[in-house]
Amino acid sequence: MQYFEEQNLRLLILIIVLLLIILPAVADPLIIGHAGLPTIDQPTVQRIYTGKVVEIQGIRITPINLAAGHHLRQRFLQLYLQQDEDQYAAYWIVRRYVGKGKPPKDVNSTAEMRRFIAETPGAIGYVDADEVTSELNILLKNR
Amino acid sequence: MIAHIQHHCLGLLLVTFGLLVVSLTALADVKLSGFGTLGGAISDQDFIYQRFIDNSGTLYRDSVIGVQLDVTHQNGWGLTLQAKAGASTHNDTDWEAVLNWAFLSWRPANDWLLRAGRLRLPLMLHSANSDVGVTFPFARLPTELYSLLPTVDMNGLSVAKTWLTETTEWTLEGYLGKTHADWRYYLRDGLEPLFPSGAMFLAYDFEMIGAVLSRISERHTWRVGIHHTTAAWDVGPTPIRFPFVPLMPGSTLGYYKVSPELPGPPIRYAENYDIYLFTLGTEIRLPQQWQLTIEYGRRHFTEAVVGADTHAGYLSLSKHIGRWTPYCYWAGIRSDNQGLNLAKAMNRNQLPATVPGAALINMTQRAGADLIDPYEQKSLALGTAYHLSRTSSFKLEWLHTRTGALSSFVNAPFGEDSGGRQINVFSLSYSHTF
Repeated sequence: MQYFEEQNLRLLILIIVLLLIILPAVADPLIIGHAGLPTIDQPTVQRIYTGKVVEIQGIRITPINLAAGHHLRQRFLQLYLQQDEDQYAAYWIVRRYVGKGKPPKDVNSTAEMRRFIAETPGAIGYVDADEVTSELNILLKNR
Repeated sequence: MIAHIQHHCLGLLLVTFGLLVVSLTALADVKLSGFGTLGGAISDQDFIYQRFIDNSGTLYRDSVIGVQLDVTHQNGWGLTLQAKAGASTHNDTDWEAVLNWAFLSWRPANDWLLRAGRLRLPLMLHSANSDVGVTFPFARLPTELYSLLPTVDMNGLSVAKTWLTETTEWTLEGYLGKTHADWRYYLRDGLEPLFPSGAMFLAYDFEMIGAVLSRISERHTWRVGIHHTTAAWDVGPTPIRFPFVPLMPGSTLGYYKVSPELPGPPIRYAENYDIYLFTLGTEIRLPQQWQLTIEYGRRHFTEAVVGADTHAGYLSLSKHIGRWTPYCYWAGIRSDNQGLNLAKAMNRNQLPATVPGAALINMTQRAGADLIDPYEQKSLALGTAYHLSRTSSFKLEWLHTRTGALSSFVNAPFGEDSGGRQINVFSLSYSHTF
């Protein structure tokens, strides 16, 4: 009996180790922006991505999102806006059809997002923490 | 007048088209979106309710299709065009396409939004998005309240100032504008040649001004508004009081003078209707995904004694359960006592056949009651929305309406009353946005 319990425990540990190796690490997204943009706080991120804030310290901003369904976008919405895809989409459908703007532009990859942010004054987006490089202007690291 | 309106619309179109071109050449961000509802409704009655619904069914009442173009520039300027096709607002038979939004917007800073052009009035909670079915759970927004004005679109200016606190967003929006729209009446008996029997659309020039204060927090939305409108009838001064003419001095036997051709003291006219609207609305998100929505609207005519001087409102309770949003609401509308009592008195005022010309006068009394545009009805709706995706939903609804003394939402058959009716309406619709 004790033999079987030890076997089960070993099997469980093995499964956990394998899962840690196989599954990709899901790091929290970091908020990045075009050079010169100041650091911001979490409520400001939320207001930027819901169209309520359009400038920071006089600099007109352009938020960028990853395409709907991207795992990093889902994580970003969850962490910074406390919304899921459906809630976020529903919010923008209403806001658009009351004539108060349109949702942030979507891009397909973080590489595209980094490129857009580098080229566009005022652009704001997010990347996986693992993708941070020294040339990125990080606006918010932790929630 | 029609030529003037067409000219005005053409000018607006040219201006917006020019701005669109400018925006495009400036590499602005352009987004095209669209919406549509295919909605069917059928009642258990052989007379028409809400312009289109009877026991033969209709797609006219709820079906609409539209497209919207949003052009934004990074400097804060934007252009929004929205065109839609749906049931005509000029008759009960046609389908028409209109440009209902065409405005320039400017966000000079986070807390200011300025818009100019063809805009939608911020009357009720869902006035701005009333054509976009996926944005609210009801198969149809409660007619009792969402018919305060014959149009919610105007040509003018809107300025909104927002204050953001840690948990709350306050917005004060003021607007000013003009529009031309038709006010629908339904006459069982005509007053020829000016007012033929049946549905009748009288054209008015509206001048509007108003302010709305809203408070939005994570769980609550509150909105209160005060609006002033003048409505000038195209044909000339508007009758505001119909005097009672006794057949003999001191007698209660007589008639209301609703036509200048009838003997008696003159009808009182005003250059226009002077209308105040007071609106109040709240959405409260309750625990367990329940939501309570309450809206109220008061439409007050300062001088005229008319049935359109109303109190209206509704209370709804809904709950999100996965893809389903079942709901129920109670809605009501009632003309102010003075207007309703006048309409009731005119409606039942019938001279005996022995009086010369009694048949003709009696017809004028019923027509006069209909022209006063009285309302007294209550509705209960039970329904559900089923969300196929975040951009499309099916809706199913049963609506039970009971009319009181009179209700201008009902096309009463010739010789009968709109009051004392019970109507069941079954609705099924599919709404989509892209």
